[in-house]
Amino acid sequence: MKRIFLSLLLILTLFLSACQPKAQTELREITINLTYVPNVQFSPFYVAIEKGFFEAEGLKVNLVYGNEADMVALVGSNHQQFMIASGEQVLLSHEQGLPVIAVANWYKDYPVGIAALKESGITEPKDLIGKKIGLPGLYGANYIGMEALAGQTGLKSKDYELVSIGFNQVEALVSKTVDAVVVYLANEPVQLRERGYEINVMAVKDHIHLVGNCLVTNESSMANEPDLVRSVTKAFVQGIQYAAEHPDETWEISQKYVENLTDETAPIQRKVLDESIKLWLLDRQSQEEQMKSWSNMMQVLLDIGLMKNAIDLDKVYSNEFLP
Amino acid sequence: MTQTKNRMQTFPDWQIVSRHRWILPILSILLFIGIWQILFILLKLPAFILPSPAMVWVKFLEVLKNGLWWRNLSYTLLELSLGLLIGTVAASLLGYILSKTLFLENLLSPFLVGSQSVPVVAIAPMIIIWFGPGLFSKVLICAMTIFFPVLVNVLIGMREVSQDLRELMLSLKASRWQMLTKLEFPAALPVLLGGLRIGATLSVIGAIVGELVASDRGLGYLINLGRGQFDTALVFVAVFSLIFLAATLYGIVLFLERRALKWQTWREF
Repeated sequence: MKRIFLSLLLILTLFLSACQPKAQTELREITINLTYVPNVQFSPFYVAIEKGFFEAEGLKVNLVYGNEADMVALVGSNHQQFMIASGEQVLLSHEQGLPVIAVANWYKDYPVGIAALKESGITEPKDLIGKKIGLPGLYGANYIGMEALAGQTGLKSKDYELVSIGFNQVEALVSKTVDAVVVYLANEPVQLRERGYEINVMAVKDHIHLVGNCLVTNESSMANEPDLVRSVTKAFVQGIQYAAEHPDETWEISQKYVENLTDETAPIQRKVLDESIKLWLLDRQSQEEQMKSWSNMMQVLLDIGLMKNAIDLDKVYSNEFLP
Repeated sequence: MTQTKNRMQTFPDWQIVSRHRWILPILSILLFIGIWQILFILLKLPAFILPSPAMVWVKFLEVLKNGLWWRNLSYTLLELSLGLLIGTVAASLLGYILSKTLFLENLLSPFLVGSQSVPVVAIAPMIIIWFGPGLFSKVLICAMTIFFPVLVNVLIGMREVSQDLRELMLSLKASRWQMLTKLEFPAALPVLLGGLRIGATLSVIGAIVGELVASDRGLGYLINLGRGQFDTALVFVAVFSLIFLAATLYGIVLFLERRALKWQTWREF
C-alpha cells in the first residue's frame, strides 16, 4: 500500500513539474555592452527590460558599461555579442579586421555639435576661425564630429586650434579656457542651460548626415544565431518606441538604474532624457538615407586619415533583423 | 645669553608638540579645509567646478544615508583586498625563488623592470578586453600594481639576511623549512612589511584605474557617475573616500608591523 502511494506521489510530482511554464526557466542570458556608466540616455534598454520586451523574446539581459573602443574589440572578436556603438566605431573596427555589424540605428543622426557662450559671438562655423576649440581628445565621436563640421563648412585645420581637455567641456567653456567646445547635443548643452549659461550650439547634423549610435553585433552571431539577433533587435526597437511614447514612465523606470538622481541632479537628468528622445530614430530610414549617412561617415574618416581604404558598406550594416 | 634664553623658552613647546604629535595631521587637515573654503569664497567658481567643503560634507551625508557610499566603497574594498592578497602572495613567492636563484633573477629581470615601467593605466583597457569588465580584471590590475614593490622588497629582505647567521643555522643542521621560518622570514619581515605598506596604498590606485576604465560599481564608478552628472561634490566624496581607504590600509599594515616586529626594540614607528 505504502509503495503504491509513493509511486502515485512520484508520478504526480513528475506530472506537475512537466506542467511548469517553460518561459520562467528557459530565459537565455545575454550581455549588452553600453558605454560609460548607467545614464538616462540608455533608457530604451531599461524600458525594454522592465516592460518585459526582452523576456517575451526568451532573453534575460545583463547590461555592462565600459569604454566604447574596448567593447567593440570584445564584440568584434566574438567574446561578446551585442553593444551600442557609434557609426565611426563600426567602420574603424571593420578596417581593423573586427567584423562588427550595425543591425539597428538608434539615433536619427550624429548627436554631436559645437557649443559656445552667447557672449563670445560665435554663432556659425566661420566664427570659429582663430578660436580655441576644446574636445576630449583627438579621437572618438567628438573629434570626428568636429572634423566633419569643419570639412563641410570649408574650415581648414589651420583656421582653429583643437585643445584636448578630457571630458571637461562644460567646465572649460565656463572658465573660458577655450572659446568653444565639442559636445553631445543631449547632454552638455542641457547642463549649461540649466545652470543659467546662454549658449549657441552648431549641430553637425545641420551640415552633414552621419551615422550615430547603433545596436551592433558581429558576423558570427549574425550567421550562427540569426534568431537571437532578431530577438534582441526587436526588443531594443520596442524599447525605443515605448520610451519615446511614454517619457514620464521611462523617467520612472530609469530611476531604478541610474543612481544619484537627487533633488539637484534629477531635474537636469530629466531634461537630458527629453533631449535624447528628440534624437532617436522612430521611423524607419529609407535605404538611400541610410547609405548616404554611412557613405558620408566613411568619407569623413578617409579625409582625416583615420581610415586608409574604403570598404564595402553593405558589410557594415544590415536591416534584415529589424522587426 | 639671549639665544640661550630663547632656546629655553621654545624647548618646552617642542616637547609638548612631540608628546601630542597626533594633533599635527588633524591640524594639517583643518588648514587644508580652511584654504579650500577661502579659495571657494575668493574664486567664486560654480559648484560644478569647485564645490565648498560644506557642499561636499552634505553630499557625503546624503550618499551615506541612501547607501550609495557604502555600496561602492565596499566593492572597491573587496577588489583591493583580493588584489592585495593575490599580489602579495605571488610577489613573495616569486621574490623568494628569485632570491635563491641568481640565474632566474637575471633571466626574468627584463620583464620585472619592464612591468614596472609600463603605467597600469596604459594596460588596464587591454586587461578589461582580455578578461572582461567584471571583478576578476579589477583584482588582477590591483595585484599587478602592488606586485613589483613587494617583490623588490622581498628580494632585498632575503639578500640582507646575515651570512653568519645562515652558516650558524647550517652548522645546526637546519632544514630548508627551518631556515625559512626561523631565520629568513623573521629577518626579512621588516623590509617585506615596508613593501606591503607601499603596496597597500598602491592597491587603491590599481582598483580605481580598473573601475575608471569600465565598471558599474566601486569608487571609480562613483567618480564617473559624478562626472557624468556634473555632480562634482560626489566626485570629491569619492576621492576623499579613496584617501580614507588608502590611509586605513596603511594604518592596518603599520599596526601589523608593530605587532610583528615587537621584538625589534630599537625600532621607532
